[in-house]
Amino acid sequence: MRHNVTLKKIYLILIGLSFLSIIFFMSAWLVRYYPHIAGNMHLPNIQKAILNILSERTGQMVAMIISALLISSTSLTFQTLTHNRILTPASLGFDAIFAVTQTLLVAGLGFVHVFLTNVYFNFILSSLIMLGIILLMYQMVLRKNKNNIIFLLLVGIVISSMALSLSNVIQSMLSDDAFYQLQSLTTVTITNINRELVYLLMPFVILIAFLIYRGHRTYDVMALGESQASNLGVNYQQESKRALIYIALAIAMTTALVGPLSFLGLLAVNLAREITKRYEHKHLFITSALISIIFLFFGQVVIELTHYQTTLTTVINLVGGIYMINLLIRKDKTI
Amino acid sequence: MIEVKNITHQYGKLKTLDDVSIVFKDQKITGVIGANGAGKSTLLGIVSRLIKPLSGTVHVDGVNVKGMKGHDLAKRIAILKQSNQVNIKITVRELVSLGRFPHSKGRLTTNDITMIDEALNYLALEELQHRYLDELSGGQKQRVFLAMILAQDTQYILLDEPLNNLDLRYGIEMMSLLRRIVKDYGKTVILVLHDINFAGAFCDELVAMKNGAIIKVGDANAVIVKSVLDEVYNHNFKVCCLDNQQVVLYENSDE
Repeated sequence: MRHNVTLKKIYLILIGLSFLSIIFFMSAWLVRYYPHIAGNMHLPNIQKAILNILSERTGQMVAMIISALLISSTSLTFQTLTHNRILTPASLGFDAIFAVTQTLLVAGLGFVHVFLTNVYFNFILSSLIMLGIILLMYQMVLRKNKNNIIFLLLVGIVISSMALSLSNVIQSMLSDDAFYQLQSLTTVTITNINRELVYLLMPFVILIAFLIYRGHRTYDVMALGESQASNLGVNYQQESKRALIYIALAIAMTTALVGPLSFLGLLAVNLAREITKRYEHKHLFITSALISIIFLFFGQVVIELTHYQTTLTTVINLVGGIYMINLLIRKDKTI
Repeated sequence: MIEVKNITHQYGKLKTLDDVSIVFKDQKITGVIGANGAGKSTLLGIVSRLIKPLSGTVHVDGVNVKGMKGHDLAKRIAILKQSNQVNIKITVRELVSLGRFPHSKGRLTTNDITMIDEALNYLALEELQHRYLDELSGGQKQRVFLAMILAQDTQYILLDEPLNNLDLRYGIEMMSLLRRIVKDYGKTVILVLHDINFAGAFCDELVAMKNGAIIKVGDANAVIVKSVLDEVYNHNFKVCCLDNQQVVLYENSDE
């Protein structure tokens, strides 16, 4: 029973911290603009500016919550499928595939093509391409090797280095304008988020997050390994294929929204495991999502207060990288 | 009753099972013996549907396994493989609770909880139930997995080399436990064993396999005879009878 009390406490603290971080984020701009606003609140253009900032902030907030939710749940599911706690979907080369997809689109269609400049078309196209590639990989590798996810990872490493070199080569051949267009497409950050895309994605995100969350009991069993899961009546092949599709879709969405944030998932899921000391995906999904939110929002606040000296991606990857090294050299390897 | 009919299975070009047919008797412990690569684990895997055969059928209680849904089969047959590397932070009780998954899909009812308590009690794991699995010894872990299978509440229990990595004491304990389970619950146990004397002491029926085929089926004293064992293992055994049980000794070829 002591078990449950601590879990409740953990939930309360994490929820409290998440709210705090969101409130900090929503009011961080005040620190910077306070001198301009103070005493000028009655001016109509100042009021308009404040409203503008608030609506921009709301868009960013929604995007960050979406990303936190998707990144943590996909990382957790992916770790369950691979029975490994230091892998994230980025290990399959998703980030690199996103980059090369955008590069090929810019090079192939021309940078002013409607498929590129229209965020919706671009998003749908790149999501479909990413989904296609992951399914192709599944078909080619997993079918023949009977669910050998380690082999899939090796293919992922090869594909991502190939994809990165390919996009580098193509980029060097692009015109200056096309290159800048590509840069703005591939180096997405929270600061230059596309608000229309955020609201468009909302329903899909809720659907995907729900679909992943719904499988939490099955994932509990799958974490025991393929033979145990089959013994308990789970169709392991089918379930892992389905989970991979969800992961591919979710990664396409987050990468298009906030750019690659691979270490965030690693950080959040492992911290969730360490804090809760539970195996149930139900608890891990929720706690890791909350931890992601805390990291994203506090991180963004820190960056704003330091006047955008660096990007959130850099900070998170730095913290995540240090944590990963810590994970690797630690003796206790149980998840 | 488990009926295996004309099962053939291949890994690449290597035939691991060649037209194998056998009926496993109910409420008995059946031991499968044979050298490495004889097809013992493959046979168990096919019965439990972990492995798909090239041809042939498996009927459980008269129903073809092929047409059964995963969770329906999981209510009838449980299988424990030789390696049970679980690397998640899970307590003994939580793992045993997962044994109820085919019945409850993870939403435990009061009936499930009764079954879990009974399984933990039966295997004397109550003291350990809130410990994490990775804190236990090999013998204790094996008992936890057996408790999980018991909670799964299947008529048939298949065990692939359950005595692997267990010392003599734990090995004897495990086999005595299985005997008790068969006696108390009327379950059917089929297991792969390497130690012939263990098989002779604890199994009702033995199946001797070689190169993907069954050489001999019968009660322990009918299978543990020099002619059968010499053929199965290509070795010159010394077989004698002690207190009405056939015992095997090995030949030291240096002598």
